[in-house]
Amino acid sequence: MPEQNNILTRLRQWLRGEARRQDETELDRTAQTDDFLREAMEGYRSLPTSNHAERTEALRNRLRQRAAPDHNIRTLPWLRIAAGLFVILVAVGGFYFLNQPTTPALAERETVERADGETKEIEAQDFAPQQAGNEGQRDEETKGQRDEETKGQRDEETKGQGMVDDSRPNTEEKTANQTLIEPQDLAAPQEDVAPPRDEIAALQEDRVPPPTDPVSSLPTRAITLSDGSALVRRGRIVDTAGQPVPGVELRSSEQGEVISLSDAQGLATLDTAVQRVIVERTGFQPVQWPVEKSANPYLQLQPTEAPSPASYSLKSRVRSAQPPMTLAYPSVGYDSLRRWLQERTTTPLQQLSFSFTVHRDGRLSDATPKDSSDQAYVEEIFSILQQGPVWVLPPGVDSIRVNYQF
Amino acid sequence: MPLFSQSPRPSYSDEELLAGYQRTGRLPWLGMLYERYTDMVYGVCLKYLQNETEAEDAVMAIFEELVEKARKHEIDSFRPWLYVLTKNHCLMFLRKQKRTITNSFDPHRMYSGDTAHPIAEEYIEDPNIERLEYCIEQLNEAQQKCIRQFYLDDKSYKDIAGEQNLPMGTVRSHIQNGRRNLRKCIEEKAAKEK
Repeated sequence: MPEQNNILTRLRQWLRGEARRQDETELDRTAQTDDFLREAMEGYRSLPTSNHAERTEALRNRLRQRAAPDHNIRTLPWLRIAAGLFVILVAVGGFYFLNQPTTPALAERETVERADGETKEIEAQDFAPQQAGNEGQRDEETKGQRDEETKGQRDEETKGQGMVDDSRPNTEEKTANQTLIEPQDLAAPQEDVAPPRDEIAALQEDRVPPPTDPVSSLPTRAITLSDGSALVRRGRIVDTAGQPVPGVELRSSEQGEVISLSDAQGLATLDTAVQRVIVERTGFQPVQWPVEKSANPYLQLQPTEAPSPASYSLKSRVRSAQPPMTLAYPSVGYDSLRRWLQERTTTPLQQLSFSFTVHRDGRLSDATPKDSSDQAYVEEIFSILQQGPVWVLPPGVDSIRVNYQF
Repeated sequence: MPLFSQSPRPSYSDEELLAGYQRTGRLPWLGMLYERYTDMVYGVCLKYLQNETEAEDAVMAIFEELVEKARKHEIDSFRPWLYVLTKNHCLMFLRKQKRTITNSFDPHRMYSGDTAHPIAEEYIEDPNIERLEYCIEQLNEAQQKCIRQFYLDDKSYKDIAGEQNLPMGTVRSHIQNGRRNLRKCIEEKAAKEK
């Protein structure tokens, strides 16, 4: 804790421009083993001319206002709703009471509605509170029934942070109101919970009946289909010691974009229809994780030095393998490759950016300059690279296009 | 922390502030906890979003997420949990915006033990000093002046900005670029000497 405070104090000092050489060096050294700090400093350094100290101070002020005690009522929205409803009820009740019809015709009509065939006559002002009481009772009954009906369904759904949980309170509130006013609309809110039709169609084959799900004990996000079955893709990523690995990036092999990250418990959940994901984290070998039916939901990552495992599986089906767009790396590591290049260039290394293709057989081809890098210079560097250390490709991939930047 | 304390105090640990929020549901507890990490969260958001306004909005949006999630989730260690939450938020934001996440490799921006600071003490005190002097001379005037004042005269960015009458961002930029050029120059010179 004191060490943490020290880091935060140093960072703030650095942002204000008050850090000296030793403070900054110390901060950078800490950042080498602290990903949170490292990424934060990389962020600040990526926009060096911005006045970070002023902006972070303004942010802190905004936060203080947001978290001030008089804002606390926001944490209890139901209290505000209840207070609002109470005021409206009192106002409407008062208005209704003051404007009671005294004509016998209206009183008689209400008697018929209320007494359901009885001949006893009830005054309109006597009827109003009873009706309100009945409505309250009906409200309670409806809520009770609804709770009973939804309990089973809710037990089957997961308790994650997904849209299902977020939308439930609104849905229930709307349902309760509509039961009293327009019962024929009761089905409408359920459509809010179900995923879009095309999503259902895309994932139709991946339905997993919850009771037989081998990983049902893992907390996860689920999408509930209209028939009540759940769609889930989830797994836990661990290291060779069986410890969960947080912050692992899962990329779509088709698009190459990050579609999920493992959390502190190493849990990763996919809510996108993909056939195969690339799993990647610094210090571990990148691997492909096919989204496959009846396979082990645990993925064990190997450290960078260890041999790459063949493949692992996640719940779902694989139809065909698509080559990923990135994730080739030099077998000796980038630092060594850079040094190796520097030792072999006749001129000092200049700023350059280019892309090239890495093939399974070890060939490098099709170098293309980027960002107005000089074509001749790119060719010179690329010809040295072609004689250099072997590049590693993920299993099952024939070639990958790599962006390289100096 | 007193069992029924209703007000957070700066001396409380992360765990105590989090427990206070989970117990009372009052935002000052969470606000005080989150404020500690505002600089870190904003920095990470800047890295991914590359836009100050979007990063500021993201910091506030992450706080709103926290208001809900910090009460529902069992959080063993707040700091790493917040880091993952922040990263996830930014990546999801980029994904919704259909913006590409750049994963290019730039060796000069990466940290490694021997290249983070080319003018760290070990460089100054060993035979690299000659290479260092030579390479500093090769920098442009603005970078050279800032680098000398920061590394050799041990002045802060703020002091340098005051003396040279420059915005602090400009000083930061000169030192950052100067450092990168120095590192390249020293490595190239060392390679040639071999």
